Amino acid sequence: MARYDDVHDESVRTLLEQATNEMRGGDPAAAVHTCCDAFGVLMKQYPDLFEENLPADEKVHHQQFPRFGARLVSVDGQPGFEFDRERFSIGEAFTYLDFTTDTALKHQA
Amino acid sequence: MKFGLFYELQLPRPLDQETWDPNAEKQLIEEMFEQVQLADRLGYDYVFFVEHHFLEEYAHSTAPEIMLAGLARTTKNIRLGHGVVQMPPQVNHPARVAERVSSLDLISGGRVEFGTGEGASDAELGGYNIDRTLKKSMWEEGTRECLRMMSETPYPGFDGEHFSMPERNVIPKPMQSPHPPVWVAASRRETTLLAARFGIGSMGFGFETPEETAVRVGEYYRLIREECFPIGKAINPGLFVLNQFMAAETDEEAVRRSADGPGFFSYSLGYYSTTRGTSRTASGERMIDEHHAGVTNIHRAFDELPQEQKDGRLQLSDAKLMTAEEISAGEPENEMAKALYRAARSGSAIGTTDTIRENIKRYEDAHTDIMVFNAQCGARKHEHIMEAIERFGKDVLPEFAERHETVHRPWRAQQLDGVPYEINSSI
Repeated sequence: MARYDDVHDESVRTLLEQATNEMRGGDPAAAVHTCCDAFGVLMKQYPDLFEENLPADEKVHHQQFPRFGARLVSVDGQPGFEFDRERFSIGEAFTYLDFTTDTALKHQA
Repeated sequence: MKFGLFYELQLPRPLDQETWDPNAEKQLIEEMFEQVQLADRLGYDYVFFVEHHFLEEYAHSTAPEIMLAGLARTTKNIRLGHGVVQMPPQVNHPARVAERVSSLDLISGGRVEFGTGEGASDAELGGYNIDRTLKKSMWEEGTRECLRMMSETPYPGFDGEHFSMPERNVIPKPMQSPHPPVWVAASRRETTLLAARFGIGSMGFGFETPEETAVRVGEYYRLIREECFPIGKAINPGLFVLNQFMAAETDEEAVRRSADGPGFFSYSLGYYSTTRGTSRTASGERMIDEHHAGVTNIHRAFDELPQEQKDGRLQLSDAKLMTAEEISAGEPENEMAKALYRAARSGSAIGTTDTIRENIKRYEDAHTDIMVFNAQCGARKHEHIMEAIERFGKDVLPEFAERHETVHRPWRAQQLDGVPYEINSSI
């Protein structure tokens, strides 16, 4: 069973399923964008996630939203995403996917 | 559960002078050789060396392949691990990595463990002008192609995102076929899951608790069975955890001998993990001063910290080992801070051999494959490290080695039943 199956919220689960399918289809860049969409939904449901994951400095933060080419940013105080490039590796995309899935599972618990 | 030693080759500057004695680095290396040779005689399974660059005092293991080559010819059985090779091509071109790892495998009689990684702090990545946001992609591309170079004749060439090269036969080929067991440094939890998907071992550097380890083991082996698409030609299923280590006749003596080792380890790791000058207290006071290469005395800065700011100092000075529950109750949320906190406070492999046996049994119960000890850290004394290696090797290691064969191996076989890929693992 895929891990996203355990996510209760249908909108987040659907996006994570879509990202997984994009990975299986060999499109990690699309999966990264979809993971950002899913994390955006999560931030609406759990507003604290925005502040928790917005880097306050340049320190290495292993528990925050990844910064491997797609970055969580503040746009006039609201969450947004910036993409440094349009190509992503498999490993980068899985990092975004697993982080988002973990965040969803952790917060619903 | 198997056991290994882990070396950063830490060398704190003297407190009473500005730089090291001229022979300090040579002495550090000579002592390391004695420690690993003793571990080899006692039946320890692994030794791992980091590769870090420019991280004065924290890690003088900048050329692990040289240390491992020396050990290849002066030890008999212990497996020789890179923990890890930095794979961004600006640091190590994948062809050079393949050549070095294969050569080491040949001169060691097939004892290499090929740990791979991305590099960490800006202090070292910046030294090679590497964009930190690209390091994971560089690791993935470099590792995949390096494994092809070891196992394909000829290597057909590659035109990639981060390096390109024409068709060549990369020689020599390693003794272990198709290539040595592959690992990845997993500071992020997601990297452990990625390791499973890529069919490689996960080197856990986060000082995870036994309970966390149990969860990770379950997820890891499920992914190996269900969602694995190997990055190499053979898979190496396995997880290791890193633990602070000091054994002595009494718990109090072990804590005393442990000295500032874990505290300095944590402080200096945090020092380099923080972009200079950006870490501040709530009142805006700078916590870590700007680093001046070749000048800053990190050891002195650590020593001059107020007692309450020295990670683990209060517990160490009180000779009080914290229970897992106490550690868990007080730990910070941030993962890096959490790792540092645990590194300084966890006494799970610090104490008498009875204490250590009881504590690490919980990791064995969680089906951990390998526990790697950070024995050489801070300003610990060589003779204390030697005694600790000997005490554990004689009093504790044999019973774990026996259970590894009778309990853990059958459990692993069950976990890997039906996995369709070739397995090359020393576990």
